[in-house]
Amino acid sequence: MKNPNSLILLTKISKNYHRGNETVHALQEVDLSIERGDFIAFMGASGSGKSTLLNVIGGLDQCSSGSYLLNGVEVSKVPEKKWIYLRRQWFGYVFQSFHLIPTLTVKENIELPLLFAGKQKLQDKIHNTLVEIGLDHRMNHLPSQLSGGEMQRTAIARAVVHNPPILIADEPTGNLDSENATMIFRLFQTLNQKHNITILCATHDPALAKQCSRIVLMKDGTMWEE
Amino acid sequence: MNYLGLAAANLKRRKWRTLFSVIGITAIVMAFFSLVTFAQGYQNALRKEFTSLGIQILAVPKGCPYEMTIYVLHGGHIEKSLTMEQFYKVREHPSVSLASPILLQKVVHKDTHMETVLYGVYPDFAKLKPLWNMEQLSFHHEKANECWIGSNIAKTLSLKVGDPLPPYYFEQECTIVGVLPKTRTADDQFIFAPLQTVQHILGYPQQMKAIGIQLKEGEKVGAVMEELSQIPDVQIVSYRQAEYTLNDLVQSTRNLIQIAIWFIVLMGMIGIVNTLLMTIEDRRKEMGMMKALGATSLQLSYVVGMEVFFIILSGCGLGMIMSWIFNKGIENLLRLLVSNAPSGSLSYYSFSTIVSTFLFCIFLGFLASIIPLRTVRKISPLEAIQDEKS
Ligand SMILES: Nc1ncnc2c1ncn2[C@@H]1O[C@H](COP(=O)(O)OP(=O)(O)O)[C@@H](O)[C@H]1O
Ligand SMILES: [Mg+2]
Repeated sequence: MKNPNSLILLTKISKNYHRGNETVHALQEVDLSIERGDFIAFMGASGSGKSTLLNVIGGLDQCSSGSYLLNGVEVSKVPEKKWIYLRRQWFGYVFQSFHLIPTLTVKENIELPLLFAGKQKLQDKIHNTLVEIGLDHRMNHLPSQLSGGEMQRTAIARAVVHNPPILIADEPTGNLDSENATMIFRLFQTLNQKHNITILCATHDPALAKQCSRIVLMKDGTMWEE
Repeated sequence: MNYLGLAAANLKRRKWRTLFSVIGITAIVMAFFSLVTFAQGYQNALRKEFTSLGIQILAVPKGCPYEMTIYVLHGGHIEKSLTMEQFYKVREHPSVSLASPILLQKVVHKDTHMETVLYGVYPDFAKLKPLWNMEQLSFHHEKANECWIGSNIAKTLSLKVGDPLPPYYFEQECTIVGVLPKTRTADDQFIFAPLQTVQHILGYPQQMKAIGIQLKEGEKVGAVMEELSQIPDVQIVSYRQAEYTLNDLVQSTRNLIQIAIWFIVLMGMIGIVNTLLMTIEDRRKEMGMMKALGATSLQLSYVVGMEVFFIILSGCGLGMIMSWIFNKGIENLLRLLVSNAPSGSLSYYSFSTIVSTFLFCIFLGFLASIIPLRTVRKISPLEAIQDEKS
């Protein structure tokens, strides 16, 4: 099962949180390998460690111990400052509450990763992404003028506009009705199949999870795969 | 979109906060700019007043050079006097080309309470006043009840040559025989009459309070001053000394104003820092999310910095425009605070004052940004999503 050429290879990853005198073992010696093109659903009860795992993988949080190889490179000890560049290169993020910048239009929100990466000249790319998520007619609207589904599609466009190989989605449909949730998953499938984006998605919805290529189950900071 | 767009979006989001921040800076700048222009304008006005005095050195009664200096400029009460004997001794000194006696006193118009100064002089006093551009103040004789008046008096009381001088608090009737050209100095407010006439009016027969002296060309001022000081009970004051004297007199007031200004600046700074911290606190999650989207702390600082400088620079520009518009009011306020301020405009705008005010503002901007930008650096992307931890 262990393949050193995996896109992501986690070995004995643990994450502890300290709350007063108490230590929370959010992740306990997790082993996981992820290949290019995987579309993985992370399932488990609330508090089982899904977010913590995704945050560690996405470099938003650091693990307490263990080894994390990203494309063969050990990144578990990379400081936050350097992670910024790894994030730009490798990851896009989508969250349950969309975290759009309220003062910026749909188009401007989508432009942000390119601006920060110094690639804001790629106007075609922005337009194509807008068309792909079906929001080109809404591009000059503010987030407050959008429906929940439209907001999440904007967030997805923003997450993939800079062509990251990996998309991390933490309960992306948690705030949406089933119709919109289905639509988001269809969009994920397109991204996964058409652009070969590796998608790591935490979800509570078994029906949606079934559409993924792998399902990882989590409980009390440990995981196993079906 | 670019960083400027991001900064603008944030400024627009909190319109009122932005506006009040700008107004705060405007107030600081008005205070600062007024002080700077005042300090320079004061020097200039003082220098101009002394130039208009046209006197290289001044002989005054021994023991009161400070009071005398102000006296000669603005009137006031001085006990001691110089006698005609002392005057002749000064006039006969070989290095002196012109010596003109001066006797003056503040007088008040009975109806309007307008203050002015009655100056008793010799006709050749005009030679000490380059701005008048005249050889003589001509009077019919040494005791004539005649006077020359400054252009401002002529204008405000609508007086012209041939009119009688309206009843001031002295009883003597006086006919106006000339109106002086406009000089924009205190002279424009004064009345000049023959020395003997004024001696009579003020009750100082054969006396004067000061002697204006001009030296022959090529004479060394220091040496002549030394020699003239040998005359008993006479003290010699130079133009420079007089200038320093007046500067000294207002220094303490100016220090006080400066303390007030720095206090305002400090308060303003605390205000800006507080506002900045507030706007950053408001945006913690957003900034965390932007870091997740690949923003470096430097890039976010750049955006915050642009917001700061928009506020600072627009406040700065507005402050300078406002202090220019309200120049007169501010000047009157300063005149209340600084006694014996020279007449003429006290504020003095120059390229360097404008530039130094801008530089000062930019410096304040950097200073105010230190703590807020440290906060920006410490924001982690995790903060953006922490509300989802359960
Ligand atoms: N910042 C934190 N501080 C303390 N405990 C935390 C923190 N984040 C997560 N936890 C704890 O870690 C465990 C896993 O949380 P999480 O990964 O958010 O679970 P899930 O996303 O599956 O609901 C939970 O017990 C949670 O209380
Ligand atoms: Mg979670």
